[in-house]
Amino acid sequence: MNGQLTLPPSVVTKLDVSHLVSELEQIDNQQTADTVREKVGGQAQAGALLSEQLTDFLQQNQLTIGNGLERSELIKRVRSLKENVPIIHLTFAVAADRESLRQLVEWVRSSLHPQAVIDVGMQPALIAGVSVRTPNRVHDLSMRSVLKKNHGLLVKELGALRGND
Amino acid sequence: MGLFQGKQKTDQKPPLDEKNDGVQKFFDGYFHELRVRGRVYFEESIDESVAEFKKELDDTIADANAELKKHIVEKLDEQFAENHEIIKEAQRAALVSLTTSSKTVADQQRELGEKVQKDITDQEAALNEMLQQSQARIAEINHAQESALQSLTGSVQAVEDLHREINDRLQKSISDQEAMIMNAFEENMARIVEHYLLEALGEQYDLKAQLPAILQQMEANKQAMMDDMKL
Repeated sequence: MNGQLTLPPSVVTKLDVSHLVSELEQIDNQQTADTVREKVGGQAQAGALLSEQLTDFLQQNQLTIGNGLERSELIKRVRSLKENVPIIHLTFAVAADRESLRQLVEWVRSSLHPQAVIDVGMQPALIAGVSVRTPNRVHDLSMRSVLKKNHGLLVKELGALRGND
Repeated sequence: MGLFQGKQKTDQKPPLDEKNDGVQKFFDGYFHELRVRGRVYFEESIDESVAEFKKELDDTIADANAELKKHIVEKLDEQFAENHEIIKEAQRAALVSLTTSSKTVADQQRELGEKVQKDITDQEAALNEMLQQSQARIAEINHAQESALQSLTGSVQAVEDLHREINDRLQKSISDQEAMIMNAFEENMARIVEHYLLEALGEQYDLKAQLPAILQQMEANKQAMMDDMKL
């Protein structure tokens, strides 16, 4: 419980982290309610199904949520993680599919920051590639940027072509 | 002689009587003679009286003339003396008046001279001032004319320079316009080509197809991203 929490590839965005927090809180509430019911002789409700993201998160961090104190501590840590998680904005020219985002976030966490999440946007003008915005910089890796950089070369080629005519 | 004509008539006798005519005739002759004699005597006496009277009258007249002449001479002398005194007094008064007038005239002449001299000095000062003002104005006018001339020359030069500059700018503008048109053509043509390429590529590449290239690009910029994340 004392190590740094890591995020599984299924948790891609900050919204996913928020979902983790909400799901953990919901589970904790339900578990607390079941405990109270058991104490008053009531029947506990059936255990809630965990989402894929939470399951992956618990497995990757080797965590359990059976104990109320552990849940409370986990909720606190996940909330803190949600508040402090680094966000990398990725803008694509086309709609991003889940699998591609999973691969990208794996690369981000393995290469940049283990707790980083991504915020996805779309801008068709980029044509292809991605525009990456880290906290302080924008790394335009799109085809538009490549063409813009090579615009002079194209004009030069056209000029040369006109000269030949 | 006329004085005694009346008397002669009174001495005539009344006419004689005719009875006494003989005697009368005698006496007539005698009387006639007497009358002639008396007439001669009387005439002589008269003549003498007349002569005497004339002589006395002449003497009287001569005396009167002498007296009158003497009196006149005395009066004339007195008058002359009086006139001489008057003339002398008049001369003296005239001399005094003339002297006074001369002094007055001299004073007036001196005052007039001083006044004239002062007027001349004032006039000279005024004229000098006017002359200096006129010279200053002439100098200003000359300066203004020179400035205007220089300005005019400068303006002409400026106009010529402006004309030359406009020509140069026009030539340069034409050249620039030509180059700009050509550049715009090349630019637009480049954009057309780019647009065509982008349209063609954009429709064919989805994110999965692009992912290897994206990861490759991100890997190439990995260090820069990491540096930014550490900030």
